[in-house]
Amino acid sequence: MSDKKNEKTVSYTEAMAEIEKILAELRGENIDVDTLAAKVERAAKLIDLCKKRLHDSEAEVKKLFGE
Amino acid sequence: MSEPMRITLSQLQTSIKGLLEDCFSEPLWVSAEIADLKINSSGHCYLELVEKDDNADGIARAQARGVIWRSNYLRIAGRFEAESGQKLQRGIVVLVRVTVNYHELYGLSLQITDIDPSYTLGDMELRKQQTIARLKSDGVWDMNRELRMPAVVQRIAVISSSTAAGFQDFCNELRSGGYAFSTVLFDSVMQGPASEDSVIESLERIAALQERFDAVAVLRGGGAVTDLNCFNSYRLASHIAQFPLPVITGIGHDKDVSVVDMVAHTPLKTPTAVAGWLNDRMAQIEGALEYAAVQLHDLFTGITRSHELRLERAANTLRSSAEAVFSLQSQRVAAAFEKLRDNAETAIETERNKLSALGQIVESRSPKQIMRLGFAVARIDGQAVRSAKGLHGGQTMTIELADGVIHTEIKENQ
Repeated sequence: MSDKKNEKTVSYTEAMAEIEKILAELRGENIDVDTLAAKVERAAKLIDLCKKRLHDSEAEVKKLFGE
Repeated sequence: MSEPMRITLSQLQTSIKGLLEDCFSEPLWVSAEIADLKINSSGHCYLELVEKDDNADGIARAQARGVIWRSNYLRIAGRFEAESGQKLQRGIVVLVRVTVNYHELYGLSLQITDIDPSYTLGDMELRKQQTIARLKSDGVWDMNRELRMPAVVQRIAVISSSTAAGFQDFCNELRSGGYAFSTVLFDSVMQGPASEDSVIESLERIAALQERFDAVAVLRGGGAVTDLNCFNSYRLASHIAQFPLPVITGIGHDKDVSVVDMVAHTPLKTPTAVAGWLNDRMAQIEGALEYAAVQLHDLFTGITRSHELRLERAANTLRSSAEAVFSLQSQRVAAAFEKLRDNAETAIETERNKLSALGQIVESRSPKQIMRLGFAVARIDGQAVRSAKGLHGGQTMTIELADGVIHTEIKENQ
């Protein structure tokens, strides 16, 4: 159930791994069209989240990392 | 039994002085470690020179006082610092040119008239090589470098001096990238003999909070004289090598690489370079994320398009097979219709022929046809005469022939 993990607590490494996994699935032959939109949405959300974290204010970062 | 010879203390001292000065009339080159160094108010430099036992750590096997008069000090210290890259200070090994001096009041002292910087350099290099060999034989040499640097290095424990220019350069450069970093400074002594213990203490404090940080940056720079001695120390290098977080160094050297740099995960030249490296790393991550977003978009568009094409092809196939079926069926219907019409026409023709034959039969039996054969119809008062009986003379009778009617009168009936 790691796919359903809360975006607020997911780490960069986990997020990057999940993005890569979704991209690999999309590159594969057997992509399930029924879940395509959900997967694309999930990956886009993770990408946005990671990008945001690179620029978040220090306080935000500290909050994210539980300091 | 003669009494022992009695002399005064000053006589003894004068005698020692004389003997020593005879014995050491020429200056000598002596190697020793500086155990202490002080410059007094009048500018003279007083040193404690020692020779330590190689086996028993730190225990002196010989010690003597030395002095560099003010008139020599600036020249000697200046040249030494310039050539060795090393301040004349406690803890270093020197080769000094001395004149042995004995004073009746102060005892032995060595007047230093010169110091050979190349000896100190050689000694430092030798010690450095020994430190490297020891770290390798300890099995810790590669340990920090083998740690995985996290993809995103955002939370940095900084070991530096809050007042050092290098630390300010680092902060300014880091801010210029526009990325969010969380830096915590562990204020440490970065110069001189106290720095080894100070940096190690900071490392220990960071280790206790290690889950709060992605990496450690050891920063130093902007000092007038490059003093890397503490960064070549076995204890400090061993701590760095075994540190549980990856260590990035920016200790501002330009001549030589320190042992700490050698064991650190990522050695960089200056604090500014460390900040630049951190910003670059963030930019790389951002670039990778943007690339992932583009890929996501392209793959999604590609997949959607390919499925659209598949659906379109399916629709086309469906349409053309439907058309083929329809056209086949309509051909069959047309053929059936054709056949039906042909059959109907034949039937009608047959019937028509039959009717025509019947018509001819009927025609051949018509009264007019019979009259043409010579038969005639006799009528009295418009009624056909079917019998001679009852007829009598004088009666008018019409004879109807094929081409006309004759009015007659019966003469007699026999």
